[in-house]
Amino acid sequence: MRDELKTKIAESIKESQYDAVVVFGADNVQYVSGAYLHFPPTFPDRYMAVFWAKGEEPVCIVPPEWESSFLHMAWVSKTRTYTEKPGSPTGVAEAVANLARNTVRKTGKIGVDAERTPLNLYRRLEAALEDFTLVPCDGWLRELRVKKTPKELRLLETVASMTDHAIAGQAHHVLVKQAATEMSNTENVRIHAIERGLDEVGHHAVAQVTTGPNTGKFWPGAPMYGIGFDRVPQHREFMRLELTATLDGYWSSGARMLTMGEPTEEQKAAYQGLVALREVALQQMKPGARCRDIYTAVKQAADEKGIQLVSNLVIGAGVGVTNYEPPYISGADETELQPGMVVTLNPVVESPDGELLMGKDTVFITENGANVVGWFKDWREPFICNYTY
Amino acid sequence: MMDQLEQKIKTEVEGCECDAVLAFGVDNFNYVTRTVLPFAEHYPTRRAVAVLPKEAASVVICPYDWSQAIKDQGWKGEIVAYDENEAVGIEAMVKSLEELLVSLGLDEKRLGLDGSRIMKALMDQLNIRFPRAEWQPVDPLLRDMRITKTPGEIGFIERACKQADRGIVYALMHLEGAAESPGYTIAEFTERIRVHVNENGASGVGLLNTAFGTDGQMYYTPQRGWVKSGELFRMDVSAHYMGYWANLGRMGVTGKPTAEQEKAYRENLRLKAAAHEMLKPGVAANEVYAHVARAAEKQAIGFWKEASIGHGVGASHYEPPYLNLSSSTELKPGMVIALDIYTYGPRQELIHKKDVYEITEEGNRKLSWYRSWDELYAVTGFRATH
Repeated sequence: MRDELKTKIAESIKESQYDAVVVFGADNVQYVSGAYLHFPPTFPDRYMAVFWAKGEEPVCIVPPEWESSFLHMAWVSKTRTYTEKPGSPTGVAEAVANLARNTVRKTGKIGVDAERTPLNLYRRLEAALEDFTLVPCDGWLRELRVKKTPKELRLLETVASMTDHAIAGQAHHVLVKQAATEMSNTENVRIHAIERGLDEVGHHAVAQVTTGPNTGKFWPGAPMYGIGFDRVPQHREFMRLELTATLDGYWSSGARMLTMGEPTEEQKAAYQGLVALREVALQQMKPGARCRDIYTAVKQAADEKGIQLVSNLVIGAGVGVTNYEPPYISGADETELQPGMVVTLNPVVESPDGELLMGKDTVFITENGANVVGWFKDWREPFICNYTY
Repeated sequence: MMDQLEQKIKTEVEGCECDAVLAFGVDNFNYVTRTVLPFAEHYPTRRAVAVLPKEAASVVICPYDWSQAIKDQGWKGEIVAYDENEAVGIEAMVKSLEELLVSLGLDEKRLGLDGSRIMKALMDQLNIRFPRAEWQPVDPLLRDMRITKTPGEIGFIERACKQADRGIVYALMHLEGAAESPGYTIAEFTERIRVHVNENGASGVGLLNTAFGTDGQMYYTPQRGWVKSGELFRMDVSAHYMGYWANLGRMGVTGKPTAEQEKAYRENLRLKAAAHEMLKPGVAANEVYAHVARAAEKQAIGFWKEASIGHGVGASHYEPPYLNLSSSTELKPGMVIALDIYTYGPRQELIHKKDVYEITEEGNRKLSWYRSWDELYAVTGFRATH
């Protein structure tokens, strides 16, 4: 993937309006360097950047403590460390300025990911780069990232498959009579994720299993996210199994529904609502389709069929080096889908009993339309657990 | 227990020069609302903001699926959940913020915000939407508020330390007797730390890293491969209890430690002891660093000079005060420090014993007291059924 992405980015910079770009967002740094460090977003007082001048090799500016880890994982082989004074962006801004002076003509245009750069850092950059013109390059980055390369697609399909397999793997252990707690199920989804080969990382790479009334919330028991509780699911209840997982820094968000024993007629009907909305979305998701129109079609179908689609949320979002990125299947996103885009489709349906039903699918946009990847089983019906062994 | 913090925040906001304080940074949001958002740092295109007006009740604006979580954590103010089908990304939040500030009559007032956290593009949007508002960075105010903890906050950090330490010990118990046969993967061991930290009552895990053998030469490596005998290893975990963080590092060895490994560990403890005696009110952060540097030179112990030797913990796992050469912050009672000195093992492995201390009137008090870790934890034993 290294050569494919590096070439793509270098070519894109060459053809762009920028003499150089500098990115500070952890997701952008990973995208342009290949270093899948998971922790920088939780260190807002520490700064990392990749500076990439037209026709030059990229350089990562990194705190000394993280340098060797970065080099261990990155395809960027040049680094500069800076004397860190956490919370003060002077050191990193000066390091960028030094690189700019050596590689960019005076008054040259330098693109910055302004959607990821803190205000105080941006101001310090403006002062340090007063001989240059700073301009936002978020749109350029978005276009670059939103369409995946063939190798990115292969990796995303692998992650999606492993994620679905991990969820299904634990689902096969669930029995009505010998049911374990939510906490036990949650942890066992994580264990199955590791068994499938997904990476073990902290932060938001978590599982969550909710049952019965707890499925009525997105995050029951806050702030204990991704932990689960001592509740044991009961016969005929829904169980929701969720997993956010990564491999080599590319992500998948999975969610599946399980019924504790044969589903009731009400459960079947509610789940079929979710299936119906997925079908409507998939029919619409093809090259040239606007995200806004896809959302509208799904919403309209929900209204016509009396399905309680949870409003205020997008029904899908891109996935790549983050698990939530453009394009958004939102009533407000004008993006036209193109081959190479990847979306986690996730319409959330509220059942008559108040459960939030989810079925997160990884969808590739191809020349021929939508292609759902990674299904371990046919999810047109929920996982139905056995009564006993 | 946290009422004191609520009152402290209210008093500080009322005393500042702004008509309202807006917290955009995830850590600042968590601090001023005393809630934890679900992994918000990792969703850069979704934003929450806490609005703390001087003369009205506080309000939070957030994505719809976070609103229930905030309410369930006891947030008493209004919650505005924005509609991500009306606008995309941060625009949806800005739209709701505009409506709120206009309704509160704050759209032409002096508004404080965290300039070290708000992104440049978002600031540009605010300047367009609120051309008459006067925006003022209030980072020093937030920093000063956060850097000294209330007893309630310290109590939560102490609990988090115990939960994290116990989580590590429980994971080690699983490793013992199983490292050789049937064998143990590094990923599974790391996951065992996470689950046992959670089982011990923590409300979340952040940084999670175990590094065996030469992987330990780096701050972080992917959690891959198998546990092998005779290796020095590092266990790093940050975890929170109700939003208050522990950040610990522990060392072990698979099998009986060699004399060289033990010597290396003792060297680390000696430098840590040098730092420890400086953790008291009135000492500047860079004096602690300089004292350790002098002790290292005197005793001919190599340490990782470029890294800092510690940092604060609280509503985040890494925050001021920073113990490095450039920080002149004076230690004061109520500050909480994660002391973190890296030295080197026989194979240049990074060794540390990261503990958390509260600065008290008399000096300091260890919050991560659950186990002394004064010796390398030796993972030994044979396979047995237990």
